[in-house]
Amino acid sequence: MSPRRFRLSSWGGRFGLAVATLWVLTALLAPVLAPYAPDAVDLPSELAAPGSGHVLGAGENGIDILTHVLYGARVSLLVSVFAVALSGLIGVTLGSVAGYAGGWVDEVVMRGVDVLLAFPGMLLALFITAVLGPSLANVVFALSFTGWTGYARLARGQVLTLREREYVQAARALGAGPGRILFRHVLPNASGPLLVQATFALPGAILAEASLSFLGLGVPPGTPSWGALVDQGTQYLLVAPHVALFPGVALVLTVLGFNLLGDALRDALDPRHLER
Amino acid sequence: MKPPAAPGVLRRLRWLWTIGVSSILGLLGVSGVLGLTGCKAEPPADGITVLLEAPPDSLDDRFALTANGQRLAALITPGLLAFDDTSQPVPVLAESFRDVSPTVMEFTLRPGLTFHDGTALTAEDVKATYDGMRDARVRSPRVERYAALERVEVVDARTVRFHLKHPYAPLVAELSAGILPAERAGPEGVTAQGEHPVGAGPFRFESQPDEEHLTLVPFPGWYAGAPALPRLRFRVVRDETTRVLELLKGRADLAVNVLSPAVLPVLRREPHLRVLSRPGTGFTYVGLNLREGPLADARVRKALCHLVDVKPVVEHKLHGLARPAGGMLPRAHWAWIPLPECQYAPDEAARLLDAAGYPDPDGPGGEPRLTLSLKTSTDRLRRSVGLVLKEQFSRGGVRVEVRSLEFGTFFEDVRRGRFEMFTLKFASVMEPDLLRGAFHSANVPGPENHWGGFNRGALRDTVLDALLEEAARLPREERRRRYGEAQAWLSELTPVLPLWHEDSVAVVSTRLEGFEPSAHGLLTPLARARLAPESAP
Repeated sequence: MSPRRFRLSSWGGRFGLAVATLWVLTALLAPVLAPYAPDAVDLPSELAAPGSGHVLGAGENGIDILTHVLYGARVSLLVSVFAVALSGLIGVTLGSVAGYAGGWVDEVVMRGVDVLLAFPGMLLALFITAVLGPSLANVVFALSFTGWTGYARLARGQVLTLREREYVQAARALGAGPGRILFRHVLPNASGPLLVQATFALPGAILAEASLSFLGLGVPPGTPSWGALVDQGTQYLLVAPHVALFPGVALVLTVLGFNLLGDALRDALDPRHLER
Repeated sequence: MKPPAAPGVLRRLRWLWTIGVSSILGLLGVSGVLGLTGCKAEPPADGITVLLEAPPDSLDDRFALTANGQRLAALITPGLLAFDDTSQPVPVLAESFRDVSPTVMEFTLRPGLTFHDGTALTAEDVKATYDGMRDARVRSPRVERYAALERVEVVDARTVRFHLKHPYAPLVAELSAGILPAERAGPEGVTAQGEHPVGAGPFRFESQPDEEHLTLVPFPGWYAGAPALPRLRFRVVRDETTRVLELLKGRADLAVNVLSPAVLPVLRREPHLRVLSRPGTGFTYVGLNLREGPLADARVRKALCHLVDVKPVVEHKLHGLARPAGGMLPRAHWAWIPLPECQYAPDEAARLLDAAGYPDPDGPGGEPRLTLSLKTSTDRLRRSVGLVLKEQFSRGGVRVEVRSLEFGTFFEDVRRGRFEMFTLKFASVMEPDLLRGAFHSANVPGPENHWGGFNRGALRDTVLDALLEEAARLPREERRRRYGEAQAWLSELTPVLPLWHEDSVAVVSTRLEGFEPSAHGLLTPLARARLAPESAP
């Protein structure tokens, strides 16, 4: 078999990859790129239009919009990556164990998944953050609380298919234990769909964090967040539309980019589109 | 064989995206042009529309606790008295009033008063109103305010006397309660009054199809003559941007104290709107918890006062529509005395914090001297002010964590003493006895007062207690001196950080003439307003 090659030959895939790269770089380099400290107050510039002093204008208390957009990328990166990683870890572990073990273990895990899926995810996240209070850790927890179910279903499905393959039977015949079979032979072969799932989950988590912050239940007051900035801007749409515009554009571009990247990855990892 | 360069799904997505974005931009453009440059609606000619930010909790003055409930009730069911901009009592349904003795107040009603249903308003109705208010079966939340009232005596059809258990000058503030027809004043009249209120006010109830709409019409029998406005339509619009749009489009004529200062410049630019303001009586402050911790030390509290810089906030954030406060009473109040405001003096703050045992561990910008939390509601202005205070405190080495909570949770925390600092506003300060409510040690919230005391920071000071108790017992003209002493002593104790008194701001369309905002944000000036000649039906 010739080695597989991933291709992101479409414009969407390249755009998505560029957005993702830019997003990560922005998040990492925000303290270097930002012209002001994120908590800097400049009352005389409150709601100032874009121009000298504040390139993208100023918001409430004269906060610099560019600074908050840059630092907002950091918050959305932190929340979405941690939420997706935690969801993935829990979901893949539980789903693969359920799929491989079968029987009552499978029943218990999958019925748990069904129960969680019966709740509207956003409503549950709202409830959790409302009870626990606004903080980054609580947002990650709230998003992971329901987010793992998709991974569990996907991982279980993949394991159910792969565990009957010849190479798995061979490993079993050679005396490999369930853990080794699962983590060394089955899961590596299920990684493609899981990766695509994670890529699609990232924009979902970014949007969810923004939504919670928009509603005042995400990050604490003063923490730069695109959702919080859009929330602030909606109040001043007639006076200072730039306050909502720039974080809104950043949010749209990032989510769009990740969706396009996810599409491209899915196509690239689809066996029907693989070069051999 | 090579896979297709762009899979079908992406091609479709590209078109979808292009069409979607174009449509959104197009819609935004069209709506922006329509929304901001004209397409004004034709307002109804038979009256004016007044915007409210929330529905009134009740139109029955006995039960109205919200500002909107009380403002609307005052139009339908005025009381014997009202309070002018200096918070002095002025007669409304009463023609005059006097102190017969330290425990007896006598009111003489205006001649020829009638209720909206045509029946005469007499001293019997006044007595029935106050007896009903104190009747436990009526369940008025105001019942405790009349604890000092012993009985109400009808002298004749136009004269009524209030007998007090002991001298208690602040009771006069409670004699502004709306006067009801006697048959509606008791427990059996509560339902009827709630559904279709009847009073003797300048406007009478016409309809309230739902909680978001209310219509009042002028009452020809109003003692000062029928109001000139043919109809008042009240509409609840909860979203501020929508309220601004309603005013811009000419679909509303009046909004009182329901718009934030930041949006006023847009309205000022409109030729068909006027923005009117008057120094208000609301008091915004930072509450401090004196029960334990660093804030139990007056030096720390004074240091915080020296780190707050109120003037730039008033100038830039409130657009000058507030006055820095030195104490709870506004400048125009009859009992006001000049007091030092919180002045930004970082060196003095550093000295006080050093003396209190909070030295700067590693110089400016490093580790803080102390860390405190500041709770606010989710109200945008309060939250935003909290962040300004956080930045100002941080300049003096005091790290502050701002926590914004849903109002119910926030208020419960404040009542139960679960805070270090909080920001709140007294909506209107009329009677200086509010100082006793807010700072007397008997009014610390606790189980004995059902957590309803206003002394939320738990100040306990025997000197202040004595001053405030004496001030409540003195005749009205002697109270000013005692309240002056109490305010000066409070300034020394610094149980709260006084911030500002917000102006009363009204946005008025040019269709409405003769409306002047009141310091208390009341709607009663509508009784003297009229439609502009070109707008009259």
